[in-house]
Amino acid sequence: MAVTRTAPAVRAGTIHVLPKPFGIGATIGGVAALAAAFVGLLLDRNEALQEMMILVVVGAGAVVGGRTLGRFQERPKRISPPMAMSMLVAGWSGAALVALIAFALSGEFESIPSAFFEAVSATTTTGFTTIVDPQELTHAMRFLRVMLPWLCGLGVLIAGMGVLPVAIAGIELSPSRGLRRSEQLVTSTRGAVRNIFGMYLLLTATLLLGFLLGGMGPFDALSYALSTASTGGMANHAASIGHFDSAFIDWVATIGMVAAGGSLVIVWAALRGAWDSVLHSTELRLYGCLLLIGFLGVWLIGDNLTATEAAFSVSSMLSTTGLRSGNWAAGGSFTQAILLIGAGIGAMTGSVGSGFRLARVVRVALEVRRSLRGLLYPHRIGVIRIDGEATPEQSLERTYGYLWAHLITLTSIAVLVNVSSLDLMGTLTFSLSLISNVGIVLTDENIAAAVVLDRWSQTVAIVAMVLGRLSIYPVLVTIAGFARWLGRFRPHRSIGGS
Amino acid sequence: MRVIVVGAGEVGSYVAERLSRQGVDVFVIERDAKRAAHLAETIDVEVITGSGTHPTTLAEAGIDAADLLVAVTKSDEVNLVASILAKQADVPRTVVRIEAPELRGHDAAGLRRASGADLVIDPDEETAQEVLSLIEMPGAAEVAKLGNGEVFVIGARIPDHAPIVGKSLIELGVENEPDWDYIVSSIKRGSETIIPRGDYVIEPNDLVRIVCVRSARRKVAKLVGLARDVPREILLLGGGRTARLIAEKLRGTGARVQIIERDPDRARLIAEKLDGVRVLQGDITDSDVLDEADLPRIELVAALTGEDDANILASVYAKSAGVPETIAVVHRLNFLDLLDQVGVDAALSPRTATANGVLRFVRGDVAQVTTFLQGEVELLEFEIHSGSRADGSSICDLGLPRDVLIAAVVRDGRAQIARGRTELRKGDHVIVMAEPESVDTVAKTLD
Repeated sequence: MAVTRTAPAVRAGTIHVLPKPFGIGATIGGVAALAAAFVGLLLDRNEALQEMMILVVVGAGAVVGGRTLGRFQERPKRISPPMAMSMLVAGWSGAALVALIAFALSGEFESIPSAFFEAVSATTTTGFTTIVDPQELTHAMRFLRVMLPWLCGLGVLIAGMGVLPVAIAGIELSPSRGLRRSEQLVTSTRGAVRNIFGMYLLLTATLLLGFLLGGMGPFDALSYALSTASTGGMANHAASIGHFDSAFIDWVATIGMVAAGGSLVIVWAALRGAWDSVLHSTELRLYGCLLLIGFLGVWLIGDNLTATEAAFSVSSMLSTTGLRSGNWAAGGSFTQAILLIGAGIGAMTGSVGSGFRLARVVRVALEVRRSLRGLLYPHRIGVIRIDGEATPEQSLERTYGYLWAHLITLTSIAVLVNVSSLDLMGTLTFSLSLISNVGIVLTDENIAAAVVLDRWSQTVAIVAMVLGRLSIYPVLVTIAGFARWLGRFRPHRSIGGS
Repeated sequence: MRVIVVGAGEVGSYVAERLSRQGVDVFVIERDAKRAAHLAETIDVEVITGSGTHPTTLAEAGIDAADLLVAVTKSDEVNLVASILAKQADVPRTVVRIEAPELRGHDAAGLRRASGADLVIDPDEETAQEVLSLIEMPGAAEVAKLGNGEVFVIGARIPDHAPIVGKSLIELGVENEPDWDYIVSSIKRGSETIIPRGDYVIEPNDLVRIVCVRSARRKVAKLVGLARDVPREILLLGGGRTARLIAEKLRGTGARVQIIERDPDRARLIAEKLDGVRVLQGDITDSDVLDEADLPRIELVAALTGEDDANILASVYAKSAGVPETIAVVHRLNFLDLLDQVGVDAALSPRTATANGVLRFVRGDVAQVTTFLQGEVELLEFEIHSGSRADGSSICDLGLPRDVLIAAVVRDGRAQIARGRTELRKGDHVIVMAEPESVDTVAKTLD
C-alpha cells in the first residue's frame, strides 16, 4: 500500500490570504498614479498628455484590479504572524508592480530595470534614483516619485502598527502609560487607521506650511512635505533641498525629519497629555541623545559644516530620510563616520523611518550590559527592563537573531554591490543606505542620491532595499512559504508498492 | 465550645493546641495517618484520620454540633470545600486558609462568598507583616502592634550593655514617672516566662517584652540596647510568596532589596516582576552565592525558606560575615534555643502569625490576639462595653489574677500605660498580657 505525504494545509492558507493585501498595495500604487496624473493635468498641461493618459489608465486599472482582487478572498479566521508577514510583502509587491508599470510606460527611464529600480526605491521610501536631474522629468512623474513613498509609508505604518498582528524581530509597540485602552493610538483597526492617518496628515500639512513660508513654490512645497513626512527623500532637484539655499527651509526640513523618525505612539501620548509615557521612553531618550551628540559632533568636531548643515545631516541620516543640503563630504572623515553610524542605527519603532531601529539598539546595548554583569555576578538573574517593563527572553532572542540577519545582509550587500566609481566610504554608505532605506551615497568628496549602476549592482540594490524596508524576515518567510506552496505540485513520493 | 480543625500541619496543630489549652473541645481531621497519630500523642485533642472534604469524616468529627470549623490545610481547594460542607451542616462560623493570589483576589470574591467563610487567613501575608515589623525595629526579637497601632509590644533579648540591665521594675517605674510611657510586661529567663512584679531585676540575656505607647518606641529601643537605624540593605533568602510580599512593600521605602532563590524559573519570575529588586539564583547555604550578595554591606538578612536547617545555617553564615541583624523563619520550635545560642536575632513562624488571626476570631469578644513563638503568654486587646463590670472601675479593684497584667489603655485613639489607679471606661481598648489559662477569667471580668 502506498503512503503519500501531503503538504501542510497552512501553507496553502498563507498563499490564500495574499490576493487582498496585494490588491490593497496595487490600489495604493493606483491612487498615487491618479494623483500624479491630476498634478500633471494642472501643471504639465499638453506637454505630457500621453504620460498623463498612461498614468490614468495604469492608476484606474490598478484601483479597479486591486479592489476586484480583494473580493475574491474571504476574510481569514485568524492571521498568524507568518501570514501577516507575507501579507505585508504582498501589499508592498502590489504597490511596487503598479509603480514599475507606470515608470516603465512613461518613457522617462532609459530601461525597464532602471524603472524597476526607481519603483522599488520609491515604494521602499529609500530615495535613490537613476535620474541625474529630476527637473528634466514632468511634474506628474516628479509627483509620482514623492507620492508613492508617502502612500507606501502610510501603508507600512498602518499595517505594521494597526492591522497586522506582527512584531518583527522583537520590536513590539507598548501601549502608552496613563492612557485608557480606548485612548491608545491603536485600539480597533478602524481607530488605528484613523489615528495614524490623521497624525501623518498633520505632519505633512505642517511641513507644507513651513516650506511655503520658507519661499518654496506650492508644487515643490508639497513634494518636499510628502518626501520629508514619509522619510522617502525623493527630491525634485539634483541638489535636493540644498537647491533652495535657505536656512529656514533647512530647519523646517530638519524638524520634519526628526518628527518623521520619531515614534507615532510617543507623539500620540504627548498629544493626549500622557507625559509619563513620553518621559519614560528609553527609545525616545536615546533618539534625543543621538541627535544631540551627532549634531554637536558634526558641528564642533567635524570640518566646514555650519550648525544648520550639521543638524540637517544628522537628522536626515538618523531618520533615514536622505534629503540633502550642502556637501557633507566636506565635513571630513569624522562627520562621515557619525553620519554612517546614524544611517546604520535608523529611526524609532512606530515611525515610518527604517534602519536597524533604536529599539533594537537599546536591547542590544542592555544585553551587553547584562553580559558584563553576568561576568561580575554569576548568580545574578539579569532581566532586561525597558521603560520599566521586563522584556521577555523570547522577544530578546528574536532581536539578537535579527541583529545577525541584519549584519549578514549588510555584509553581503557590501560584498556583492560592485560600484567601481565608489571608494570604501562610498561603498559602505551605499550599502547602509540601501538596507536602511536612506538613499544617500557619501564618498570622500561628494554626496549624491543619483547612482549609476550596472545590472548586477542594480539587482542587488533592489533586493537590499526591499529587505531593509520590510525588516528582512517577512521577505524570507514569504519566499519560504512560496517555495513550500510550489512543493505541493511536485509528484508525491511513494513509500512501498501498491 | 466545639471546634473542628481540618489539617494538622504547622498551623493546624498550633491552633488546636492553643484552643485545647483554653478548654475548647478540639477535633482535628488529618489525612496523613502518621501525622494524625503523632498529634494525638502530643496534645489533648481528638484526631480523626481522613479528608476534610468528605462528609462522612466531618460527621465523624461531629460537624452537626460544631461551633467553628478552621480549615488550614496547604490546599486552598480542600479548605474551601470543607467550609462549604460545614456551612451546609449549619456550622455558625468557618475560617479558611487561602494562599493562591488568584483565589484571594477580586475575581474570586464569588467563590469565597459561596464557601461561606467568615474569615480568610493567609500565613504568608501574616509572616510578611511580622518581618516588616521587625525590619522597622532592628534588633528586636518580636514586635507587635495593638490598639490600632497606638500601642507597641517590643520583645528583645537584653545585651550586656543595655541601660535596662541591673534595674528592678520599681527603679524603672521611678525613672518613668510621672506619666509612664512603657511597662515591662513579661520576661523569659531560661525556659520560664513570667509576668514580672516590682522587685524583679532585669538581667542580661533575658527576653523582655515591653508594652509602650507609639511615641516611646525609640526610647524603649534604646533602653533595651537596640538603638540602630532602620536597615536599608536587605537580603531575603528564599523567593517564596512571603519574600515577594516583603520585597514589594519595601520597594517603595528606598531600601535596596536582594533575594536569593534556588529555583531558576522562580528566580527569573521574581526578577521580572519586581523592578529594582536584585535576584540571585542559587542555594542560600552556598557561600559563593551569599558572598555575591555582598554580605559586609547587608544590614539585615531574613531567611524565609521552608527549610529550617538552611535558614539557620544561612543566618549563622550571615552573622559571621558581619551582618548586624538576622531573622529566621523556623517551623520546628525545638530549634528556638539553638537560634538564641548562635546569635540569630529574631525567629518567627508562620504558625503563630496565622494562629493569631484564628484565635482572635475564636474569641469573639477580643479585638486582637498576639501570641509569641517563645513563651506561653498571650497579648490580648479587649473593648470595654457599656454595662461591663470594668466600666468605671479602677484596675486594682478588678481583682485580676497575678499572672494577668493590664498593660495599656487606648482611650479616644490615644494610648496610655495602665496603672493600678487607672479607671476604665466604656469604649476603652484594654491591652492585657496573660497566660492562656487566665484568658477566660480576664474576658469575664472585662465583659
